[in-house]
Amino acid sequence: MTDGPTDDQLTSQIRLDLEALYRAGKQDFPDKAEDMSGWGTTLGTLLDDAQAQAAKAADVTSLVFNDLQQTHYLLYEAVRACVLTLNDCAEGCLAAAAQLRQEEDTSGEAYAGLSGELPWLTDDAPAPQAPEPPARPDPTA
Amino acid sequence: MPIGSFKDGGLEAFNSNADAIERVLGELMGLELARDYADRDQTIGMVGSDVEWNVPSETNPFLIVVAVNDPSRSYEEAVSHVRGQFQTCWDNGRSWATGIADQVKRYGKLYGDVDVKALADIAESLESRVALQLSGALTGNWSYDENRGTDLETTLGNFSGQFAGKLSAFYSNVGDRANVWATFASSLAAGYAGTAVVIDRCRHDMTEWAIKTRRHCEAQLQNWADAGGFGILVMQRGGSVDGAETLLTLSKIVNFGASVASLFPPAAAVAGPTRTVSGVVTTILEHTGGDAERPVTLTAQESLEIWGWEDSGGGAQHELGHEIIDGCTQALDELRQGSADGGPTGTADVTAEVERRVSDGSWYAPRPQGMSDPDPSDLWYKY
Repeated sequence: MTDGPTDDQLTSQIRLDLEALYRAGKQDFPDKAEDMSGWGTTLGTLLDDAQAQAAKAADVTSLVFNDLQQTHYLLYEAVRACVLTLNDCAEGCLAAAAQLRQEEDTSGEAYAGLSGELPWLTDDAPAPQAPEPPARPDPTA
Repeated sequence: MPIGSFKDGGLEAFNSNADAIERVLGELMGLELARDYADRDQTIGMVGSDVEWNVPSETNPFLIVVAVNDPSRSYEEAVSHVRGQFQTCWDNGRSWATGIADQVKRYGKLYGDVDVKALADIAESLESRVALQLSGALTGNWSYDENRGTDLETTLGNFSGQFAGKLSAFYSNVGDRANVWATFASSLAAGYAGTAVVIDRCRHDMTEWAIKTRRHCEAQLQNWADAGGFGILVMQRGGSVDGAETLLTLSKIVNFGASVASLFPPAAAVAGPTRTVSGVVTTILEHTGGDAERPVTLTAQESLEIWGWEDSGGGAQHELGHEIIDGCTQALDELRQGSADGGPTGTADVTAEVERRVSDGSWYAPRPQGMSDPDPSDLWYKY
């Protein structure tokens, strides 16, 4: 039978996990969501541009343009949805961190130490949310 | 050969050349009919009273002279008769050519008003601003701080319950999905680039065809004018005194679509690892270099042979309708269907593969429900 972690070890571990969750929720997921939002916006603008060209196309090119528009739209939708999920995950990480703070007896001490060191990471501000690229109609529908 | 669709004045110039081709071919046919008439009419020759006829060419007016010796008519009647016959031949020639310009212009509209430079820009932006950025962007354990010794993957492993499981599943899978999207963005860019090049090549060839065919017809008309005077009597059927020969430099478009499709990243093979997607668009846009040229020489000198027949080989009509237009249509079809050597590579296959992934749930990144508001009973800290 092995002994469990000491209070100091537990406090240290909780502190590491709190920091990882706060870092993910406040910084890393929002940064990735912001990147994904930018790529989604670019994809959307290019989809608009491509639709403008497809509208000028004649019958002989319509099949190729239909393929391209459909792939382009589904790619846009995937990236757009990913922005939402990354935003959600950022919130989720902060929510998990908040819950961990309350869950263990030693969490208060771990949080106090961490927030004293990294107040910007552990304050109660919500997770930054990257803008979701707007919904677009399916160009081939 | 850089993208530069419809060189030398665009569709307007193409249509203008189509009008000129119809006009000059009609004039050539008119002269040929007049020549045939003069050849048949025994009263016409080089001996007798001169009959001058001003060829009413809009392109290149000149004077024809024949001699008439017709004992059955007075000189005035004979002159009037010959001029009338020439005019009828001329009118019949022009009538024969009516409709050629409309036929050519219909081909000009086949590819619409697509701006191929804009299409190429879309392809380049997709590759550089989306595909290359997405590739590898979320791969691995990216939420970490090396100096602080923290990373999300380890932390999530310290929790159990559905919440942590869902978050962990998203975190570990989103990188692979982003790589897949990068690869398909690259295929999409290749598709736009290939389409731009096929349309551009077709327009280039149509422009080259129109300019050179017009030039060939006008050169032949000039031969008639140069023969001058009694020239109508020396211009031989099937060959002039100084035949025109015109070289057209066209694109080697056959198999182009398949070769473009072969550059697509293999859609079925993309699973997880980052793919190199750089340079595909540039390769395609620069694909038609000097080695992809297809020289065609127009040598026919009679209007009927110059214009030719659509279905059979030879003649400008066949070259435009069958070789250029059908060749580009085939290239577009190859671009859609891909090469026959296996693997989904054409635009249709790429789209089908994306739709398959949508259907089986492997296209979108997993969307963990309840992520923003976890249930406390569903988040267990292991320690």
